[in-house]
Order: sequence, then C-alpha cells, then structure tokens
Amino acid sequence: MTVPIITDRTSRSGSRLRYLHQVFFSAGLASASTIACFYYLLAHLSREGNLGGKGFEYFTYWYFGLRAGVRINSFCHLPPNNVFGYTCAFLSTALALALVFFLVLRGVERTRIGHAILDPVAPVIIFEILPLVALIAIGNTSAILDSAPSGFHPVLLINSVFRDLGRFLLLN
Amino acid sequence: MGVFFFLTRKWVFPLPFGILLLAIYFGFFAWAYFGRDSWLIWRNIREFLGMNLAFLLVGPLPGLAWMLYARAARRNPPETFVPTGLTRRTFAYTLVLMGLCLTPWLPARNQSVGRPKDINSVTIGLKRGSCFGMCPIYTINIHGSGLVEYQGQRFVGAKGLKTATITADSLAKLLGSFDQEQFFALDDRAFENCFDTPYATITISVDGKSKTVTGDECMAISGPKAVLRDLAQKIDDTAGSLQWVECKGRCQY
Repeated sequence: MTVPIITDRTSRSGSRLRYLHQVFFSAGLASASTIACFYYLLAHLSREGNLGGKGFEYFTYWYFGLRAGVRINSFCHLPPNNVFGYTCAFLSTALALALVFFLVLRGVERTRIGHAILDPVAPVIIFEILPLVALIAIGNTSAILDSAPSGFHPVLLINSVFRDLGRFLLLN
Repeated sequence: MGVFFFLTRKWVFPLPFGILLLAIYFGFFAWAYFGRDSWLIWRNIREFLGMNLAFLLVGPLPGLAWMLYARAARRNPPETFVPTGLTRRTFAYTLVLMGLCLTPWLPARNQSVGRPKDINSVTIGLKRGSCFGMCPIYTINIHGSGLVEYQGQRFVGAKGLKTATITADSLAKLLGSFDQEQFFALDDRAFENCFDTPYATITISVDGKSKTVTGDECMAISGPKAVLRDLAQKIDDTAGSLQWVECKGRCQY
C-alpha cells in the first residue's frame, strides 16, 4: 500500500480550497434557502390573497421584509418603495444565513460528518437543489403574476429544460 | 445523481469530467436566465433584483469551488490539510457581521401612551384618503380635552368642519388600544402596497412623542396591517364619525 506523500504546500493549498468551498457552498445554500422562503411567501400572498383565504397570516411575515426594506430606504433617504432597500434586505438576510452555515461548516470541518458534508453531500445540494430552487423561483414568479401556478410547475419547467436542450442539440 | 456522487466519492475524476459537469450546470443557469421562460424573471427584474443578483452571482460559483476542492481532497485525504477549524477571531467577526445583517429586521421599540403626563398634550388624528372609486375622504382630530374635530371633504354625508365632544373614559380607552396594539412599534410606511384601495393615516401625539403610520386596506385581514385598520376603526367609533360620514341619500361630492 502506498501512502501519499503530503507536502506542506499541498496541505496548505487543500486548506485554502476547503475554505473557498465552505464560503461558496454556504453562500449558495443560503441564497437558495432565502429565495425559496421569499417566493413561498410571495406565492401564498398572491394566490390566497386573491381568494381571501386564511393565507393572510403570510402577510405578517411579509411585513417584516417590507419593514426591513423600508428602513434601509429611509436610512439612505430613498422613497419607501425603492427596490434598493428590498434588495439590501434580501441580500443581508441571505448573508446572515450564509454566515450561520459557514460557522457550522467551520465548526464541524475536522469531523467525519464535516468531511462528508463537503464531499459528497455538497455536490448533491449544489447540482440538484440549487437548480431546483431556480425552477421553483421561475414557477412561482409566473404564478404570482399570471395566477396560473399549474402552467409553470417545476416539473413542467424541467421538461422545458430538456425540450430546449434537445432542440439546441438538433439544430447544432 | 445523489447516488452517483455518493458511489464515486473516492474517485479522483479527471478534469474534463469536472468541466463537463460544470458546463451542464452553467448551461442550466444560462437557460434559467436566457432560455424560453427567462422572461418570467427578467420582466420582474425591478421587483426581484436581489434574488436574481444572488442567483446569478452565487448560484454557479459553488459548483466550481466544489470541483477544485473535491479533486484536491480525493488526491490527498482532507484530514491531511492544515487544520484551521473555527478560531475565536473568525467566530467573533462572523457574529458581528451577522448582527449587522439582521439589524434592519429587529422589531421596533414600543412606547406607552396609555397614561399621558399631560392629557392636554394628546392629539389623535385619522385621515381617510381617496381610492379608485367613491370612498369617503375626511379628517378627524381628537384632542386631550375631549374635543372632536371632523373635516369632511368628498363622498361624505357632511362636508366641512363639524365638532363634538367625547368623555375622558372614551379617550382613555382609545389610548389603551394604542398601547395594546403596540402602535409605536409599527413601521411608518410599510403598509402602502395598493394604489386603488382607500388609505388611512393615523397620527398620535402624546407628551411630545408623536408617530404617524399610513396604510391602505389592501390585504388587511390579519397581522400588523389589520392592527392599523382596527385602530382606524376604533378612532372612527370613538369619535362617532358615522353621523357625518354616512350618506343619507346622495353623498356630497
């Protein structure tokens, strides 16, 4: 059995790559989680808002987001409904969540679970969950605007990806 | 795909394989942003700028970082990497940054107005505004002395200035409602969502402290927005504004 010769340089390089992976993985996971929560709230507001159902509790949660955006706009002397405030509110939430994930990853990095999270769990999340969240985001955006959630369901959007890919391959 | 990554967790995959995987990944994001259904995102770029920005920038990068890390970790076990772990300094900096990020989300501090030091300093105002239709437009001011001033403008039974008086108990009860509903913790301008529903502006001034909150009636079924709607209704009820607002016959334009 051959034991790999680990040089100090390799070790340092691996450590830096692990740090980079932890940072981007946390950021990706946090942005996906925030997007999923945001669109979930927005979709419920829209669908149940139009129907006048019990879903108005969602407005309470939505209000906190609005308030954060309005506060940032007020701080920057911008109109209350300026997109800058809401963008900052969203990004600050995603960043806070990313920091939580980062702390957890740093905390468990020497354990077996920590190694397993970074590889092979991370690629499963990166290559499956992030694209799925993108599809949910697109699906929910259409549902909010067109009140037609069934037309752009994530499953149908996946079908749309393959349809477009097939067409691209045929034409090229 | 999850099973594939698990089964091949020790495979030092060649670089072209990683590049192919990333190409599929980037191809997906390219489709999401520029494909057939991308207009769903782009037409709302103003409203959803933050999310799209985050996805565009952050979304594809973890794939690249994982590919580089995985190749290094599968060549040499990650246990052999320089251990860094979670240092106290990293922990402290992260916590400070997290606190800064969450600052805009903190709840506002409420102030009690239920027992004013000087009852004559109390002024409670309600202004009901226009809508895309014939909604009553009027202003009510309730003073600490019990004096109620009503100013009708449009679509009301009585236009112009009208006055009435309320008892000290009614005023105290109304002030108690402001405390109960934590009026001072509401945001001044977070309730303006719709343009075609009537809006109400509530102002309260007690012992030099004042607060104004404006909101429309759009989606005011529950939550903080319903609090605002209920308070506006309580002001109306206490002032007895119905006697002037209600149109007997035709409303005055």
